[in-house]
Amino acid sequence: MQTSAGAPVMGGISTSQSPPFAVPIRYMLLGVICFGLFAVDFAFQSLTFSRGVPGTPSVVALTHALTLGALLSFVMGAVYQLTTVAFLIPIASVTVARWNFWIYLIGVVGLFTSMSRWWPLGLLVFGFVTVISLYLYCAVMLTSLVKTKARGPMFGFVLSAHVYLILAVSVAVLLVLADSGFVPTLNLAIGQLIATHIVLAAGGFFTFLILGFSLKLLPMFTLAHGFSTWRQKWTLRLAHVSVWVIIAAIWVAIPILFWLGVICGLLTLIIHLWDMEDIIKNRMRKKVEWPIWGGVSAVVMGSFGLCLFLLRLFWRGGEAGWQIIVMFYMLGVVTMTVIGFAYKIVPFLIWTKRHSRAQATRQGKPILISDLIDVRRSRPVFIELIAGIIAGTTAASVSWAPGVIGGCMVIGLSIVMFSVQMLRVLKLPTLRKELFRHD
Amino acid sequence: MIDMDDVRAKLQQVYDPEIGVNVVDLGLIYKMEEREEGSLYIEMTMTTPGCPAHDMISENVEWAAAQASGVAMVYVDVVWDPPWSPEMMSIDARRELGFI
Repeated sequence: MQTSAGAPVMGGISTSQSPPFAVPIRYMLLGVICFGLFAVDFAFQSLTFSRGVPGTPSVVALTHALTLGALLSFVMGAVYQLTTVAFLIPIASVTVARWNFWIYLIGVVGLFTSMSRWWPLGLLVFGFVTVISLYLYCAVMLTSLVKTKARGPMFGFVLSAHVYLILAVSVAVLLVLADSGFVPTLNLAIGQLIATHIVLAAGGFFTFLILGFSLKLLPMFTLAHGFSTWRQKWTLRLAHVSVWVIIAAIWVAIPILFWLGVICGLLTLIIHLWDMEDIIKNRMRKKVEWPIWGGVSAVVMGSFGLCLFLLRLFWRGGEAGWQIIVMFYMLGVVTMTVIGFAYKIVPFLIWTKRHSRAQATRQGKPILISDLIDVRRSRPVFIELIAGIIAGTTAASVSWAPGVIGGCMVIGLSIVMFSVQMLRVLKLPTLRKELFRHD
Repeated sequence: MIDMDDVRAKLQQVYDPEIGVNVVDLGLIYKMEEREEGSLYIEMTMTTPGCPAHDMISENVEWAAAQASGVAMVYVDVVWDPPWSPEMMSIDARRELGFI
C-alpha cells in the first residue's frame, strides 16, 4: 500500500475497504438495544421458566428477541465491518446492506409482536419480511466473500456460516408453512423441523461464525505471533461433520448418530480451545483482557453444554430438557462470545468515527480506545453471566423454582449492565446526529 | 532539507489506538528518507496484517510527517517484509506493554 500527501491538509480518515460508519453501527445499535430488552423480558419471564413451560408464545418470542433482535443484528453489523479487514475485500453492495437494515427492523419487530400473541397472519407476513432480509444479507456476504484471495480455514468458517444461515432460514419457512396449515404433511415432521432449525442456526451459523472470527480477533487483540495454525482445518471439518451427523440423527432417530455428532462437536470445541490456548501463549500483550477471557470461557461453556447434550440422551427431561440445553448454549456460548467481542468492536468503531482524524492534530497524548471504555468493567458482566447460567441451568434441571428465578435475574442483570456500558460508549445523542448527518 | 528529528517527534504523536503506544516506539517505522528536496519517503509496517486500524494509522503518519519542518511531500509505504516483531519495540513500549 502506498499513500502520499502533497500538502499538510487533514482530510477525513478513509478506511478504504470499510463500509460507511452508519451501516455497521445501526445493526449494532439495534443489537445492543435488543440485548437490554431481552434481559428485562428474560427476568420477567423467569417465573414461566421456573414452571418448565416450553414453547409458549412468550418464550418463543423471547428466544427470537435474543437470536434475531440481539445476536443476529449485532453480528450482521460486526460482520459487515470485520469482513473488510479480515478478508481485505469491500462489501459487495453497501446500498443493499444499508436499506436491508430497515427491512430487517420491520421484520424483527413485527415477528416479535406476532410471536408474543401467536398471530398466524403476522407470523406469515413479518416472517416473510425477515426471511427476505436475511436472504439479502447472506447474498451480500456470499458475493463479497467469494472475491477474497484469503482462502483459509477462517474463510471456510465464515462462508459456511452464511450457507448454514440460508438453510436455517429456509427450514424456518417450512416451519411457518407447517404451523399455518399450508402444507399439512409437514405437520408430521414439525419436531424434526424445529430441531433442524435450531442446529443449523446455533450449531451452524452462530458457532461457525464465532470459531471463524475468533481465529482473526484473538491474535489481533492479544498481539499474538508465531502460533500454530495446522489444527484449524481439522476444526472446520469436524464442525461440519458434527452439524450434519446431528441433523441426520434428528431425521432417522438413530441414537448412535446423536452420540457421534455431539462427540464430533465436543472435539471441535476442544481443538479450538487448544488453538486459543496456543494463541494466548504466543501473545505479545502481557495482560489478557477480560473480554478475551470471556470468549475463552464461552468455548469452555460450549464444551460443557455439549456434555449436557450427551447426558440429555439418557436423561428424560422432555421438551423442557432440550430447552434448557439450547438456552445454555445460546447464552453461555453465543451470547457470551458476542458480548466479549462487542467490548472490543464497538469502542473501535466509535473511536474511528469520532477521534481518529483528530489524533495527529492534538497536543499531548491523544484519545485512545481505552479512554472510551475501561474493559475491566466487563468483569462483573462475565462473572454474573457465567454464575447466572450455571445456577439457572442446574436449578432448572432439578426443577428448583427459586434457583431458576434467581439464575434468570442474575443473567438479566449482567446483560442489562452490558447494554448500558455499550450505550455509554455509543453516546446516543451524538450517534443520532452522526446517523442523520451521513444518511 | 527535512529535519528528521522533527519528523520523528511528529510521528511520536501518532498512536496505535488499541495498544496505546506511538508508532515510533512500537517499531512500526522502518525507514525515513529524503529522496528529493522536501520529499519524504516513509516505510512502515503494522503489528498484524489486516489490522483494522491500518488505514487510519498510515494516514495519520502521513499527515503528522507532513507537519514537520522542510517537508513538502510525503510518501508512506506499508510493507510486510520484514514482519513486525516485539524485538522492534523501544524499551518504553516494552514497559508499557508489560514486558519489563
